Amino acid sequence: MATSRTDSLIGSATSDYTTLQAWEDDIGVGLGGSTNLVTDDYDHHGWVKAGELDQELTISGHTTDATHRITLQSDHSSRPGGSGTPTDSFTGDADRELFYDTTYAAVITTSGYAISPLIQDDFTLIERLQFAMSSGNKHGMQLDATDITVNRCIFEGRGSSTSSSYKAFGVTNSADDYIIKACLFIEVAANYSYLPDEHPGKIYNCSFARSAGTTSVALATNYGRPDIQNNALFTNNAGSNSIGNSGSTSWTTLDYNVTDHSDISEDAGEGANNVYSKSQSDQWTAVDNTDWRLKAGNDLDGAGTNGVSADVTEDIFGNAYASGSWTVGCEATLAVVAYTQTQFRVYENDGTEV
Amino acid sequence: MEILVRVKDRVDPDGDRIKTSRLFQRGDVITVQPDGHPWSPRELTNPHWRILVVLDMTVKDKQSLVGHSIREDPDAPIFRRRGTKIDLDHVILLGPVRDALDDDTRTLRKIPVVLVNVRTVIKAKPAEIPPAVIG
Repeated sequence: MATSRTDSLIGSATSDYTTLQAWEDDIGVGLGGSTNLVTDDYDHHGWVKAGELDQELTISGHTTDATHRITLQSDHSSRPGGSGTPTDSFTGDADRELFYDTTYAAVITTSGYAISPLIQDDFTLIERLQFAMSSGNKHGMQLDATDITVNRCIFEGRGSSTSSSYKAFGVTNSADDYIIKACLFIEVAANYSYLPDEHPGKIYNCSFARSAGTTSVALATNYGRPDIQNNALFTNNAGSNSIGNSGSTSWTTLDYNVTDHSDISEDAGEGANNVYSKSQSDQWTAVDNTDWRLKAGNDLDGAGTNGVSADVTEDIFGNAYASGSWTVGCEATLAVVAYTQTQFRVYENDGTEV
Repeated sequence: MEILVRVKDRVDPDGDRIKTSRLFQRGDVITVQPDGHPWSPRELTNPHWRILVVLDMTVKDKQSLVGHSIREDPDAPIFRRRGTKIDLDHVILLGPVRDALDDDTRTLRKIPVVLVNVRTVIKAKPAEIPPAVIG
């Protein structure tokens, strides 16, 4: 951890910055003293307020390391002096309804041919945020640096293009050792999504689902073979595979996933613990993209491995996964359902309470 | 539309040219927001920035100003932060506009810029960065 840190509110008229990009550009000028966070000995934290921001964002040009980095997340009680939960972060939703909800901190890309957000600084951490890519030729979040972590986020792809250039989520050849965990990825149009490309990374405990559109894959890996474990890989039964991939490289770790297909990948190396041919509608409360909470009787509960516990410490809501019965996907447990407790008192005929 | 533009160059402190090219430079548009956007006090007073109010700007103009400069190189797919910039030294930017652009105290919080065609002051950047050039 760096000796010094900055914490900036972003996104409302009373925030430090109304725009994400102004915050990012001010790092090293108004925030800290240099774009070299390591020699400057700074961490910089951006806290996004509730509401949907239609803005481009690039995080780039800074020198960072594992203990001097840039973090962007929804405003939350973990902000020093903060009390943002539950009004700013979807993770604080009292009903735990799970979908791209503009009531909470969210970022959308509507400009044509835009890449947003583009992450080019190593070790950047993105947490508890929602991202949507509107239809047309846009590219949503793209990772273009090493050691980036994306944790507990929601992505909604609305793209109509099936070109690999326009994805709700992408990873370039410059991105090594990324980790994407406890995230929800929803596709609502023809576009398939997500392009981890060539370089090593980890995709753990994410839920991929499709409420509309018929393109076949949940996850396109191109030539990449990231470590893929504990993911729900559903396409609403479209196509024949969960993962589209080029080349014929075998998988090193593709295991403990649950899918609606009879085969996850056409390439060799699938682990022995994947679960096949399950129904998308049996896993989540409402697959019309109104609520992706776990459904009672789902096939995800207990289907995962605790072998990812060094990297995954909490689910999308911040709850712990059960070590002995690790759930697949971004939600560790069914939401606690409120119930009414009825008490009876039993009396003998003489009025004595039993 | 209202344009937040950087007026001072930035340089990587360690002399890294790629990192410098990925920082905003003088004339680079940081963001474009709708008319009447409620900018924060920091955004209205930061001496490195100005807010230009341009009436005749199209969505296409906006897209050109906030787009990346992309090079077909897998190791550096985004070569520059921006592919175009506003030429803040253009001779057409005179009088009160010039005074406000040069005023780091930002007495005039938003600078109205009346142009027949905003593209007059939009300048494409070269595809490659000459060694001695920053912006």
